Amino acid sequence: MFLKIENLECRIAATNILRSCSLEVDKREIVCLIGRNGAGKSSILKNVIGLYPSQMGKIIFDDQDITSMTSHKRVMAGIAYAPEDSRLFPELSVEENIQLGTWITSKTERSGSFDLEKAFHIFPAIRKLIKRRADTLSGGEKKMVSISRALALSPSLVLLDESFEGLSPLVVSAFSEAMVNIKKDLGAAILLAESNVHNAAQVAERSYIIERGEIIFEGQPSEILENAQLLKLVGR
Amino acid sequence: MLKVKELIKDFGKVRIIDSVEFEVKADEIVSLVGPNGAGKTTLVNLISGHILPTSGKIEFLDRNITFASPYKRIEMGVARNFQITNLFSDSSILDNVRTCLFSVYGKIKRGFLPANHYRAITQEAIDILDLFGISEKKELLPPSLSEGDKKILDTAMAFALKSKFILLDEPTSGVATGDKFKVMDTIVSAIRREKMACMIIEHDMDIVSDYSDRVLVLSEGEIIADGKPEQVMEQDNVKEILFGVRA
Ligand SMILES: Nc1ncnc2c1ncn2[C@@H]1O[C@H](COP(=O)(O)OP(=O)(O)OP(=O)(O)O)[C@@H](O)[C@H]1O
Ligand SMILES: Nc1ncnc2c1ncn2[C@@H]1O[C@H](COP(=O)(O)OP(=O)(O)O)[C@@H](O)[C@H]1O
Ligand SMILES: [Mg+2]
Ligand SMILES: [Mg+2]
Repeated sequence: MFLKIENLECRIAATNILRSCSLEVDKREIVCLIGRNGAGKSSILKNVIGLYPSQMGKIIFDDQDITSMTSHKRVMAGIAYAPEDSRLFPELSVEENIQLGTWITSKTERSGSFDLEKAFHIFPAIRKLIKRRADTLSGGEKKMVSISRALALSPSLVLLDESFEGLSPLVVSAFSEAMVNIKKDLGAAILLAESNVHNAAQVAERSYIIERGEIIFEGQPSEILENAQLLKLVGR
Repeated sequence: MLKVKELIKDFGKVRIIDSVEFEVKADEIVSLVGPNGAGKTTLVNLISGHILPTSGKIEFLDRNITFASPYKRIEMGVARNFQITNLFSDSSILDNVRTCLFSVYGKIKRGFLPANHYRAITQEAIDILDLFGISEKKELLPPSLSEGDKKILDTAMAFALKSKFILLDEPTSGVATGDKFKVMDTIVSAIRREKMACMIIEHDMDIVSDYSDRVLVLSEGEIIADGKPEQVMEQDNVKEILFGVRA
Protein backbone atom coordinates (compact mmCIF):
# COMPACT_ATOMS: atom_id res chain seq x y z
CA MET A 1 0.00 0.00 0.00
CA PHE A 2 1.25 3.44 -0.94
CA LEU A 3 -0.02 5.38 2.09
CA LYS A 4 -0.96 3.40 5.14
CA ILE A 5 -2.15 4.95 8.38
CA GLU A 6 -2.35 2.53 11.28
CA ASN A 7 -4.17 3.14 14.56
CA LEU A 8 -3.32 6.81 14.58
CA GLU A 9 -4.06 8.78 17.75
CA CYS A 10 -3.79 12.54 17.88
CA ARG A 11 -4.24 14.57 21.02
CA ILE A 12 -3.76 18.33 21.32
CA ALA A 13 -3.92 19.78 24.83
CA ALA A 14 -6.63 17.69 26.48
CA THR A 15 -8.61 17.03 23.32
CA ASN A 16 -8.61 13.65 21.65
CA ILE A 17 -8.80 14.67 18.02
CA LEU A 18 -8.20 11.32 16.33
CA ARG A 19 -8.93 7.90 17.84
CA SER A 20 -7.25 4.86 16.39
CA CYS A 21 -7.69 5.90 12.77
CA SER A 22 -6.58 3.51 10.08
CA LEU A 23 -6.80 4.16 6.37
CA GLU A 24 -5.04 3.41 3.11
CA VAL A 25 -4.46 5.05 -0.24
CA ASP A 26 -3.12 3.11 -3.18
CA LYS A 27 -0.80 4.43 -5.91
CA ARG A 28 -2.74 6.72 -8.27
CA GLU A 29 -5.91 6.26 -6.28
CA ILE A 30 -8.36 9.06 -5.44
CA VAL A 31 -9.67 8.63 -1.90
CA CYS A 32 -12.06 10.93 -0.12
CA LEU A 33 -12.45 11.61 3.60
CA ILE A 34 -16.01 12.63 4.31
CA GLY A 35 -17.37 14.05 7.55
CA ARG A 36 -19.06 16.95 9.23
CA ASN A 37 -17.48 20.06 10.72
CA GLY A 38 -14.97 19.14 13.37
CA ALA A 39 -15.04 15.42 12.55
CA GLY A 40 -11.27 15.30 12.08
CA LYS A 41 -10.77 15.43 8.30
CA SER A 42 -8.25 18.26 8.35
CA SER A 43 -6.52 16.74 11.35
CA ILE A 44 -5.82 13.52 9.43
CA LEU A 45 -4.30 15.50 6.55
CA LYS A 46 -2.26 17.59 9.00
CA ASN A 47 -0.94 14.39 10.56
CA VAL A 48 0.06 13.03 7.17
CA ILE A 49 1.97 16.20 6.26
CA GLY A 50 3.42 16.45 9.78
CA LEU A 51 1.75 19.59 11.11
CA TYR A 52 -0.02 17.78 13.96
CA PRO A 53 1.66 15.36 16.35
CA SER A 54 0.59 11.76 16.67
CA GLN A 55 0.93 10.12 20.08
CA MET A 56 0.37 6.61 18.82
CA GLY A 57 0.14 4.72 15.58
CA LYS A 58 2.11 4.75 12.36
CA ILE A 59 2.13 6.51 9.02
CA ILE A 60 3.83 4.55 6.26
CA PHE A 61 4.41 6.27 2.93
CA ASP A 62 6.01 4.53 -0.03
CA ASP A 63 7.46 1.83 2.26
CA GLN A 64 9.00 4.38 4.63
CA ASP A 65 7.87 5.03 8.17
CA ILE A 66 7.32 8.80 8.12
CA THR A 67 5.57 9.06 11.51
CA SER A 68 8.26 11.21 13.06
CA MET A 69 9.71 12.86 9.96
CA THR A 70 9.70 16.66 9.62
CA SER A 71 7.17 18.20 7.22
CA HIS A 72 10.00 19.33 4.97
CA LYS A 73 11.27 15.77 4.57
CA ARG A 74 7.76 14.53 3.85
CA VAL A 75 7.46 17.10 1.07
CA MET A 76 10.80 16.00 -0.38
CA ALA A 77 9.55 12.41 -0.22
CA GLY A 78 6.64 13.36 -2.49
CA ILE A 79 3.72 14.55 -0.36
CA ALA A 80 2.05 17.87 -1.18
CA TYR A 81 -0.65 19.69 0.76
CA ALA A 82 -3.18 22.38 -0.16
CA PRO A 83 -4.69 23.67 3.09
CA GLU A 84 -8.30 24.64 3.60
CA ASP A 85 -7.42 28.32 4.01
CA SER A 86 -4.98 28.49 1.04
CA ARG A 87 -2.02 29.95 3.00
CA LEU A 88 -0.23 31.67 0.13
CA PHE A 89 2.82 33.86 0.73
CA PRO A 90 1.01 37.21 0.63
CA GLU A 91 3.84 39.40 -0.64
CA LEU A 92 5.00 37.00 -3.36
CA SER A 93 3.44 36.98 -6.81
CA VAL A 94 1.19 34.19 -8.02
CA GLU A 95 3.99 32.95 -10.25
CA GLU A 96 6.48 32.92 -7.36
CA ASN A 97 4.03 31.12 -5.11
CA ILE A 98 3.54 28.38 -7.68
CA GLN A 99 7.19 28.19 -8.76
CA LEU A 100 8.21 27.71 -5.13
CA GLY A 101 6.91 24.20 -5.53
CA THR A 102 9.04 23.58 -8.60
CA TRP A 103 12.19 25.03 -6.95
CA ILE A 104 11.79 22.90 -3.86
CA THR A 105 11.71 19.64 -5.78
CA SER A 106 14.15 20.71 -8.52
CA LYS A 107 16.90 18.58 -6.99
CA THR A 108 14.78 15.44 -6.69
CA GLU A 109 14.09 12.87 -9.39
CA ARG A 110 10.48 14.02 -9.52
CA SER A 111 11.33 17.42 -11.01
CA GLY A 112 10.12 18.45 -14.43
CA SER A 113 6.72 16.83 -14.64
CA PHE A 114 4.91 20.09 -13.89
CA ASP A 115 4.87 23.45 -15.62
CA LEU A 116 2.68 26.55 -15.37
CA GLU A 117 0.77 25.54 -18.50
CA LYS A 118 -0.62 22.59 -16.57
CA ALA A 119 -1.94 24.93 -13.89
CA PHE A 120 -3.49 27.17 -16.55
CA HIS A 121 -5.10 24.13 -18.09
CA ILE A 122 -6.85 23.21 -14.85
CA PHE A 123 -7.61 26.79 -13.78
CA PRO A 124 -7.75 29.09 -16.84
CA ALA A 125 -8.45 32.04 -14.52
CA ILE A 126 -4.91 32.07 -13.14
CA ARG A 127 -3.23 32.86 -16.45
CA LYS A 128 -3.95 36.57 -16.24
CA LEU A 129 -3.12 36.75 -12.54
CA ILE A 130 0.41 35.44 -12.81
CA LYS A 131 2.25 38.72 -11.96
CA ARG A 132 -0.20 39.74 -9.23
CA ARG A 133 0.73 39.76 -5.52
CA ALA A 134 -1.06 36.92 -3.76
CA ASP A 135 -2.67 39.21 -1.18
CA THR A 136 -4.70 40.96 -3.89
CA LEU A 137 -6.45 37.79 -5.05
CA SER A 138 -10.09 36.92 -4.42
CA GLY A 139 -10.88 33.98 -2.12
CA GLY A 140 -11.50 31.56 -4.97
CA GLU A 141 -8.41 32.71 -6.87
CA LYS A 142 -6.27 32.04 -3.79
CA LYS A 143 -7.67 28.55 -3.59
CA MET A 144 -6.75 27.84 -7.22
CA VAL A 145 -3.20 29.10 -6.71
CA SER A 146 -2.78 27.07 -3.53
CA ILE A 147 -3.79 23.87 -5.32
CA SER A 148 -1.47 24.72 -8.23
CA ARG A 149 1.41 25.31 -5.83
CA ALA A 150 0.87 21.84 -4.36
CA LEU A 151 0.83 20.28 -7.83
CA ALA A 152 4.02 22.15 -8.77
CA LEU A 153 5.88 19.92 -6.31
CA SER A 154 5.26 17.07 -8.76
CA PRO A 155 4.03 15.03 -5.82
CA SER A 156 3.15 11.37 -5.78
CA LEU A 157 0.51 12.02 -3.10
CA VAL A 158 -1.58 15.20 -2.97
CA LEU A 159 -3.53 16.13 0.17
CA LEU A 160 -6.40 18.45 -0.71
CA ASP A 161 -8.39 20.02 2.13
CA GLU A 162 -11.91 21.07 1.05
CA SER A 163 -10.63 22.13 -2.32
CA PHE A 164 -14.05 22.71 -3.83
CA GLU A 165 -15.21 25.19 -1.18
CA GLY A 166 -15.43 28.76 -2.40
CA LEU A 167 -15.03 27.81 -6.05
CA SER A 168 -17.84 28.75 -8.41
CA PRO A 169 -19.81 25.85 -9.95
CA LEU A 170 -18.03 26.10 -13.29
CA VAL A 171 -14.60 25.87 -11.66
CA VAL A 172 -15.76 22.96 -9.47
CA SER A 173 -16.73 20.89 -12.49
CA ALA A 174 -13.54 21.78 -14.38
CA PHE A 175 -11.46 20.82 -11.36
CA SER A 176 -13.29 17.50 -10.84
CA GLU A 177 -12.50 16.61 -14.42
CA ALA A 178 -8.90 17.70 -13.96
CA MET A 179 -8.44 15.34 -11.02
CA VAL A 180 -8.38 12.38 -13.36
CA ASN A 181 -5.56 14.08 -15.29
CA ILE A 182 -3.65 14.83 -12.11
CA LYS A 183 -3.71 11.12 -11.51
CA LYS A 184 -2.73 10.19 -15.07
CA ASP A 185 -0.33 13.02 -16.01
CA LEU A 186 1.43 13.56 -12.73
CA GLY A 187 0.94 9.96 -11.61
CA ALA A 188 -0.24 11.16 -8.24
CA ALA A 189 -2.60 9.70 -5.68
CA ILE A 190 -5.06 12.10 -4.08
CA LEU A 191 -6.40 12.13 -0.53
CA LEU A 192 -9.22 14.64 -0.40
CA ALA A 193 -11.06 16.00 2.64
CA GLU A 194 -14.55 16.91 1.56
CA SER A 195 -17.84 17.46 3.31
CA ASN A 196 -20.00 17.22 0.21
CA VAL A 197 -20.75 13.57 -0.70
CA HIS A 198 -21.92 14.58 -4.16
CA ASN A 199 -18.61 16.25 -4.98
CA ALA A 200 -16.86 13.22 -3.49
CA ALA A 201 -18.90 10.82 -5.62
CA GLN A 202 -17.84 12.75 -8.73
CA VAL A 203 -14.15 12.12 -8.21
CA ALA A 204 -13.36 9.52 -5.58
CA GLU A 205 -12.81 5.82 -6.17
CA ARG A 206 -13.04 5.05 -2.50
CA SER A 207 -14.12 6.94 0.60
CA TYR A 208 -14.01 6.92 4.36
CA ILE A 209 -16.48 8.57 6.70
CA ILE A 210 -14.98 10.10 9.80
CA GLU A 211 -17.09 11.07 12.80
CA ARG A 212 -15.78 12.48 16.09
CA GLY A 213 -12.24 11.42 15.30
CA GLU A 214 -13.13 7.85 14.38
CA ILE A 215 -13.36 6.19 11.00
CA ILE A 216 -16.78 4.60 10.87
CA PHE A 217 -17.17 3.60 7.22
CA GLU A 218 -15.08 2.56 4.27
CA GLY A 219 -16.46 2.04 0.78
CA GLN A 220 -17.58 3.59 -2.49
CA PRO A 221 -19.08 7.08 -2.31
CA SER A 222 -22.07 5.65 -4.18
CA GLU A 223 -22.73 3.31 -1.25
CA ILE A 224 -23.14 6.39 0.96
CA LEU A 225 -25.56 7.95 -1.48
CA GLU A 226 -27.68 4.80 -1.37
CA ASN A 227 -27.64 4.38 2.40
CA ALA A 228 -30.14 6.62 4.19
CA GLN A 229 -28.42 6.25 7.54
CA LEU A 230 -24.98 7.23 6.25
CA LEU A 231 -26.47 10.01 4.18
CA LYS A 232 -28.13 11.43 7.24
CA LEU A 233 -24.80 11.38 9.01
CA VAL A 234 -22.94 13.36 6.35
CA GLY A 235 -25.85 15.52 5.19
CA ARG A 236 -27.66 15.75 1.90
CA MET B 1 -32.67 50.96 2.83
CA LEU B 2 -29.47 50.66 0.78
CA LYS B 3 -29.00 52.48 -2.52
CA VAL B 4 -25.91 52.01 -4.65
CA LYS B 5 -25.49 54.38 -7.59
CA GLU B 6 -23.00 54.35 -10.49
CA LEU B 7 -20.42 52.71 -8.25
CA ILE B 8 -16.95 52.33 -9.74
CA LYS B 9 -13.79 50.88 -8.20
CA ASP B 10 -10.45 50.73 -9.98
CA PHE B 11 -7.38 48.95 -8.68
CA GLY B 12 -4.56 50.63 -10.59
CA LYS B 13 -5.64 50.55 -14.21
CA VAL B 14 -8.07 47.70 -13.79
CA ARG B 15 -11.78 48.37 -13.31
CA ILE B 16 -13.05 45.84 -10.76
CA ILE B 17 -16.50 47.34 -10.12
CA ASP B 18 -18.10 48.92 -13.15
CA SER B 19 -21.07 51.30 -12.77
CA VAL B 20 -22.93 49.08 -10.34
CA GLU B 21 -26.46 50.15 -9.36
CA PHE B 22 -28.94 48.39 -7.13
CA GLU B 23 -31.15 48.79 -4.07
CA VAL B 24 -31.93 46.62 -1.08
CA LYS B 25 -35.26 47.07 0.68
CA ALA B 26 -35.71 47.06 4.44
CA ASP B 27 -36.66 43.41 4.97
CA GLU B 28 -35.09 41.81 1.93
CA ILE B 29 -32.66 38.92 1.66
CA VAL B 30 -30.60 39.44 -1.47
CA SER B 31 -28.04 36.97 -2.79
CA LEU B 32 -24.99 38.16 -4.66
CA VAL B 33 -23.61 35.49 -6.99
CA GLY B 34 -21.00 35.34 -9.71
CA PRO B 35 -17.80 33.59 -10.81
CA ASN B 36 -14.60 33.74 -8.75
CA GLY B 37 -13.05 37.15 -9.17
CA ALA B 38 -16.29 38.81 -10.34
CA GLY B 39 -15.96 41.52 -7.67
CA LYS B 40 -18.41 40.28 -5.02
CA THR B 41 -16.13 40.73 -2.01
CA THR B 42 -14.96 44.08 -3.40
CA LEU B 43 -18.58 45.25 -3.51
CA VAL B 44 -19.10 44.14 0.10
CA ASN B 45 -15.89 45.96 1.09
CA LEU B 46 -17.18 49.13 -0.56
CA ILE B 47 -20.51 48.93 1.27
CA SER B 48 -18.89 48.17 4.64
CA GLY B 49 -16.33 50.95 4.14
CA HIS B 50 -13.25 48.72 4.22
CA ILE B 51 -12.28 50.23 0.88
CA LEU B 52 -13.39 53.47 -0.78
CA PRO B 53 -14.80 53.75 -4.31
CA THR B 54 -13.21 55.52 -7.25
CA SER B 55 -16.55 57.19 -7.93
CA GLY B 56 -20.26 56.72 -7.35
CA LYS B 57 -22.51 56.90 -4.35
CA ILE B 58 -23.74 54.66 -1.52
CA GLU B 59 -26.77 55.70 0.53
CA PHE B 60 -27.95 53.96 3.67
CA LEU B 61 -31.30 54.99 5.20
CA ASP B 62 -31.18 58.07 2.99
CA ARG B 63 -27.81 59.20 4.28
CA ASN B 64 -24.76 59.40 2.08
CA ILE B 65 -22.22 56.94 3.48
CA THR B 66 -19.94 56.71 0.43
CA PHE B 67 -16.88 57.87 2.36
CA ALA B 68 -17.94 57.14 5.96
CA SER B 69 -15.54 55.07 8.09
CA PRO B 70 -16.33 51.40 8.77
CA TYR B 71 -16.96 52.28 12.45
CA LYS B 72 -19.45 54.98 11.52
CA ARG B 73 -21.26 52.49 9.27
CA ILE B 74 -21.41 49.87 12.03
CA GLU B 75 -22.89 52.53 14.31
CA MET B 76 -25.50 53.29 11.68
CA GLY B 77 -26.38 49.61 11.40
CA VAL B 78 -24.25 47.99 8.68
CA ALA B 79 -22.49 44.80 9.85
CA ARG B 80 -20.55 42.12 8.00
CA ASN B 81 -18.67 38.85 8.31
CA PHE B 82 -15.48 37.96 6.43
CA GLN B 83 -14.86 35.43 3.65
CA ILE B 84 -11.51 34.75 5.30
CA THR B 85 -12.45 34.69 8.97
CA ASN B 86 -11.40 37.60 11.13
CA LEU B 87 -11.29 36.54 14.79
CA PHE B 88 -9.31 37.48 17.91
CA SER B 89 -7.19 34.37 18.15
CA ASP B 90 -5.99 34.89 21.74
CA SER B 91 -9.48 35.41 23.16
CA SER B 92 -11.98 32.66 23.83
CA ILE B 93 -14.96 32.19 21.58
CA LEU B 94 -17.17 33.66 24.27
CA ASP B 95 -14.95 36.75 24.54
CA ASN B 96 -15.00 37.22 20.78
CA VAL B 97 -18.78 37.56 20.92
CA ARG B 98 -18.71 39.55 24.16
CA THR B 99 -16.39 42.07 22.53
CA CYS B 100 -18.98 42.68 19.83
CA LEU B 101 -21.72 43.11 22.43
CA PHE B 102 -19.59 45.44 24.56
CA SER B 103 -19.06 47.65 21.55
CA VAL B 104 -22.78 47.68 20.79
CA TYR B 105 -23.65 48.70 24.32
CA GLY B 106 -20.87 51.29 24.43
CA LYS B 107 -19.14 49.48 27.29
CA ILE B 108 -15.72 49.42 25.65
CA LYS B 109 -14.96 52.87 27.11
CA ARG B 110 -15.55 51.47 30.59
CA GLY B 111 -13.24 48.57 29.94
CA PHE B 112 -11.66 48.65 33.42
CA LEU B 113 -14.33 46.38 34.87
CA PRO B 114 -13.66 42.69 34.37
CA ALA B 115 -15.67 41.30 31.46
CA ASN B 116 -17.48 38.70 33.55
CA HIS B 117 -18.93 41.50 35.68
CA TYR B 118 -21.46 42.03 32.94
CA ARG B 119 -23.68 39.01 33.56
CA ALA B 120 -26.42 40.06 31.16
CA ILE B 121 -23.97 40.51 28.31
CA THR B 122 -22.33 37.18 29.03
CA GLN B 123 -25.73 35.48 28.97
CA GLU B 124 -26.60 37.20 25.72
CA ALA B 125 -23.31 36.08 24.18
CA ILE B 126 -24.02 32.50 25.24
CA ASP B 127 -27.51 32.75 23.75
CA ILE B 128 -26.06 33.88 20.43
CA LEU B 129 -23.56 31.01 20.45
CA ASP B 130 -26.42 28.67 21.34
CA LEU B 131 -28.47 29.93 18.43
CA PHE B 132 -25.62 29.04 16.09
CA GLY B 133 -24.99 25.70 17.81
CA ILE B 134 -21.44 26.33 19.05
CA SER B 135 -22.01 27.30 22.71
CA GLU B 136 -20.39 24.17 24.11
CA LYS B 137 -17.09 25.38 22.58
CA LYS B 138 -17.27 28.80 24.26
CA GLU B 139 -14.08 28.42 26.30
CA LEU B 140 -11.91 27.38 23.33
CA LEU B 141 -9.66 29.69 21.35
CA PRO B 142 -10.51 30.20 17.66
CA PRO B 143 -7.34 28.47 16.32
CA SER B 144 -8.55 25.21 17.83
CA LEU B 145 -11.86 25.33 15.94
CA SER B 146 -12.45 23.48 12.70
CA GLU B 147 -12.63 25.81 9.69
CA GLY B 148 -16.41 25.42 9.48
CA ASP B 149 -16.90 26.42 13.12
CA LYS B 150 -14.66 29.49 12.62
CA LYS B 151 -16.94 30.52 9.81
CA ILE B 152 -20.03 30.07 11.97
CA LEU B 153 -18.45 32.10 14.79
CA ASP B 154 -17.59 34.92 12.39
CA THR B 155 -21.22 35.06 11.27
CA ALA B 156 -22.47 34.92 14.88
CA MET B 157 -20.24 37.93 15.64
CA ALA B 158 -21.71 39.90 12.76
CA PHE B 159 -25.13 39.17 14.26
CA ALA B 160 -24.02 40.26 17.72
CA LEU B 161 -23.52 43.76 16.29
CA LYS B 162 -27.33 44.11 16.15
CA SER B 163 -27.34 45.80 12.80
CA LYS B 164 -30.15 46.72 10.47
CA PHE B 165 -28.35 45.47 7.39
CA ILE B 166 -25.93 42.58 7.37
CA LEU B 167 -23.43 41.63 4.68
CA LEU B 168 -22.45 37.95 4.67
CA ASP B 169 -19.52 36.92 2.47
CA GLU B 170 -19.84 33.17 1.84
CA PRO B 171 -21.17 32.32 5.32
CA THR B 172 -21.51 28.64 4.40
CA SER B 173 -18.25 28.06 2.57
CA GLY B 174 -16.14 25.74 4.68
CA VAL B 175 -19.21 24.64 6.61
CA ALA B 176 -19.89 20.92 6.08
CA THR B 177 -22.69 20.13 3.62
CA GLY B 178 -24.82 18.55 6.32
CA ASP B 179 -24.71 21.78 8.30
CA LYS B 180 -24.99 24.34 5.51
CA PHE B 181 -28.76 24.41 5.45
CA LYS B 182 -28.87 24.46 9.24
CA VAL B 183 -26.60 27.51 9.32
CA MET B 184 -28.71 29.20 6.64
CA ASP B 185 -31.91 28.40 8.58
CA THR B 186 -30.40 30.04 11.65
CA ILE B 187 -29.23 33.09 9.72
CA VAL B 188 -32.46 33.57 7.82
CA SER B 189 -34.76 33.07 10.82
CA ALA B 190 -32.70 35.56 12.85
CA ILE B 191 -32.92 38.06 9.99
CA ARG B 192 -36.67 37.62 9.64
CA ARG B 193 -37.23 37.81 13.39
CA GLU B 194 -35.19 40.98 13.81
CA LYS B 195 -36.65 42.40 10.57
CA MET B 196 -33.19 43.01 9.18
CA ALA B 197 -32.08 43.20 5.57
CA CYS B 198 -29.25 41.08 4.30
CA MET B 199 -26.94 40.55 1.35
CA ILE B 200 -25.39 37.09 1.10
CA ILE B 201 -22.60 36.00 -1.21
CA GLU B 202 -23.03 32.34 -2.09
CA HIS B 203 -21.76 29.91 -4.73
CA ASP B 204 -24.23 27.10 -4.03
CA MET B 205 -27.26 27.80 -6.20
CA ASP B 206 -29.49 25.42 -4.22
CA ILE B 207 -28.97 27.61 -1.17
CA VAL B 208 -29.51 30.75 -3.25
CA SER B 209 -32.87 29.59 -4.57
CA ASP B 210 -34.04 28.29 -1.19
CA TYR B 211 -33.24 31.36 0.85
CA SER B 212 -33.25 34.55 -1.17
CA ASP B 213 -35.96 37.00 -2.09
CA ARG B 214 -33.83 38.39 -4.88
CA VAL B 215 -30.60 37.55 -6.72
CA LEU B 216 -27.97 39.88 -8.15
CA VAL B 217 -25.54 38.33 -10.61
CA LEU B 218 -22.16 40.03 -10.89
CA SER B 219 -19.79 39.25 -13.73
CA GLU B 220 -16.52 41.09 -14.36
CA GLY B 221 -17.67 43.91 -12.14
CA GLU B 222 -21.03 44.44 -13.81
CA ILE B 223 -24.49 43.44 -12.68
CA ILE B 224 -25.89 41.28 -15.45
CA ALA B 225 -29.10 40.14 -13.78
CA ASP B 226 -31.32 41.30 -10.93
CA GLY B 227 -34.57 39.56 -10.04
CA LYS B 228 -36.33 36.65 -8.36
CA PRO B 229 -34.17 33.50 -8.10
CA GLU B 230 -36.30 31.42 -10.48
CA GLN B 231 -36.32 34.20 -13.12
CA VAL B 232 -32.63 34.95 -12.91
CA MET B 233 -31.62 31.29 -13.09
CA GLU B 234 -33.52 30.95 -16.37
CA GLN B 235 -31.57 33.73 -18.06
CA ASP B 236 -29.23 32.38 -20.77
CA ASN B 237 -26.33 34.71 -19.96
CA VAL B 238 -26.54 33.71 -16.28
CA LYS B 239 -26.55 29.99 -17.09
CA GLU B 240 -23.53 30.46 -19.31
CA ILE B 241 -21.55 32.50 -16.80
CA LEU B 242 -22.31 30.33 -13.77
CA PHE B 243 -22.46 26.84 -15.25
CA GLY B 244 -20.89 27.17 -18.69
CA VAL B 245 -24.16 26.11 -20.31
CA ARG B 246 -24.47 27.65 -23.75
CA ALA B 247 -27.88 28.48 -25.12
N1 LIG C 1 -5.34 45.34 -5.29
C1 LIG C 1 -5.80 44.72 -6.40
N2 LIG C 1 -5.22 44.93 -7.60
C2 LIG C 1 -5.70 44.34 -8.70
N3 LIG C 1 -6.76 43.50 -8.73
C3 LIG C 1 -7.36 43.25 -7.57
C4 LIG C 1 -6.93 43.85 -6.35
N4 LIG C 1 -7.74 43.40 -5.37
C5 LIG C 1 -8.63 42.57 -5.97
N5 LIG C 1 -8.40 42.47 -7.28
C6 LIG C 1 -9.13 41.64 -8.25
O1 LIG C 1 -10.47 42.05 -8.28
C7 LIG C 1 -11.29 40.95 -8.66
C8 LIG C 1 -12.48 40.88 -7.74
O2 LIG C 1 -12.09 40.41 -6.44
P1 LIG C 1 -13.16 39.97 -5.36
O3 LIG C 1 -12.41 39.55 -4.15
O4 LIG C 1 -14.16 41.05 -5.22
O5 LIG C 1 -13.83 38.71 -6.08
P2 LIG C 1 -15.03 37.78 -5.62
O6 LIG C 1 -16.14 37.98 -6.59
O7 LIG C 1 -15.32 37.98 -4.19
O8 LIG C 1 -14.43 36.32 -5.89
P3 LIG C 1 -14.46 34.94 -5.02
O9 LIG C 1 -15.73 34.26 -5.39
O10 LIG C 1 -13.29 34.18 -5.54
O11 LIG C 1 -14.34 35.30 -3.58
C9 LIG C 1 -10.41 39.70 -8.60
O12 LIG C 1 -10.08 39.25 -9.90
C10 LIG C 1 -9.18 40.18 -7.86
O13 LIG C 1 -8.05 39.47 -8.28
N1 LIG D 1 -4.96 22.88 17.13
C1 LIG D 1 -6.03 22.37 17.74
N2 LIG D 1 -6.17 22.47 19.10
C2 LIG D 1 -7.27 21.95 19.71
N3 LIG D 1 -8.27 21.32 19.09
C3 LIG D 1 -8.19 21.19 17.76
C4 LIG D 1 -7.07 21.71 17.00
N4 LIG D 1 -7.28 21.43 15.70
C5 LIG D 1 -8.45 20.78 15.62
N5 LIG D 1 -9.02 20.64 16.85
C6 LIG D 1 -10.30 19.99 17.15
O1 LIG D 1 -10.31 18.71 16.54
C7 LIG D 1 -11.56 18.42 15.96
C8 LIG D 1 -11.37 18.08 14.48
O2 LIG D 1 -11.05 19.25 13.76
P1 LIG D 1 -10.75 19.25 12.20
O3 LIG D 1 -9.79 18.17 11.88
O4 LIG D 1 -10.34 20.64 11.83
O5 LIG D 1 -12.20 18.90 11.61
P2 LIG D 1 -12.75 18.90 10.11
O6 LIG D 1 -11.63 19.22 9.17
O7 LIG D 1 -13.30 17.52 9.89
O8 LIG D 1 -13.83 19.94 10.08
C9 LIG D 1 -12.45 19.61 16.23
O9 LIG D 1 -13.24 19.34 17.34
C10 LIG D 1 -11.48 20.74 16.53
O10 LIG D 1 -12.05 21.68 17.40
MG1 LIG E 1 -11.40 20.84 7.94
MG1 LIG F 1 -14.99 36.83 -2.47
